[in-house]
Amino acid sequence: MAEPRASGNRDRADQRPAAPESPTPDLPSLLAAARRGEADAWASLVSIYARRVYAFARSKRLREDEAEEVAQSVFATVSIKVQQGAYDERGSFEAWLFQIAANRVRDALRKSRRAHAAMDAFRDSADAPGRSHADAEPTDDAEIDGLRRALADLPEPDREIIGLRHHAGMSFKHIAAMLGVPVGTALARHHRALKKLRDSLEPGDNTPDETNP
Amino acid sequence: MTTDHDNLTPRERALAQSLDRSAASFRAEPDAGFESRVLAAAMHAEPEPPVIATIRPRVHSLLGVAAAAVVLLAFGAVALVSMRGAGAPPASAVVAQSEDVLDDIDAWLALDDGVFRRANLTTFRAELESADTPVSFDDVGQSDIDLEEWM
Repeated sequence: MAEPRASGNRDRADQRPAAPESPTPDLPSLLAAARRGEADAWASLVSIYARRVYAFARSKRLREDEAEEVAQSVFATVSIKVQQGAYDERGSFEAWLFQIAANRVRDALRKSRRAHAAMDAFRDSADAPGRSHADAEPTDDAEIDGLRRALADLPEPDREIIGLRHHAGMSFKHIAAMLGVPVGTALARHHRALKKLRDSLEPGDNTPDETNP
Repeated sequence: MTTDHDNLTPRERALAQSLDRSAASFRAEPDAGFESRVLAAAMHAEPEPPVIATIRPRVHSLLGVAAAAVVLLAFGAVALVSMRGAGAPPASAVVAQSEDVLDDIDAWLALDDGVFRRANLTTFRAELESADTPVSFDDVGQSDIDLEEWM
């Protein structure tokens, strides 16, 4: 049940435009089967979305175990709500699912901050060195490490739009539906967030961009 | 998941592709059992039971109830005293009044037996003596008394 694009493959095919608006052509029938409690339908939904939810949670600086806990909590909630008929099929399932994910991430961050504040207090009293929760965990890719550190320093609204677009893999249409803003606003926010990220990665580089083709 | 970055300038597109690589790295983190665990969470999820409000006694609410009870008792006592004052006299006062009247009636009967017996004063006295409540002089057949004759 591997997520198709979870391998981190950097080949050219992976950089071609995808169709994020319709990750599966038969989502309505998948949801109908899920509502009936069919395990195969749920397995398909988990296969499509679970790692995207996980990556979104990780982009918000949750630890691996916390991000998995978020993914499980999101699917538990989605399962209950779908089977109760609480999901309105006229809306975007993806926007609805990631709205739940965003709420769970917020809850987890609050819980994590409280735990870390307590831990920091303990460390201060014990005079022991500690690592902040906000520290990015290093990977074997220096560029990605730098990118994550710079992303962590962006304001929350900028991190959110980048997280939804890149880590959750959402289309602008679904991001706009989730945030309750026009698609143009979502595009503009994403553009601004990328500019801030680039400025923080390349301080002093004020070379103007080429015009968008 | 790689997305379409055609809306971006070339420099931002490169940055966006780096972000996509970062996201792919995150998505590759969980082990092979990740989906099974998430699926299990979805399949075994049950709605939480409805929250039933529990009333827990608290010190401040108990104090509030006690204060309210004291106030109600105080008002009740004042109201009771007021009602008793405005309405029927206390039993001891009734007894005292009745005894005074009886003494008066005895004195009148001693003065002129005939006139007062005709005015049913003897009967009235007997009623007054046995009554639990005050008896009015209206019960006395005054029309039978010829005060002019008596005087």
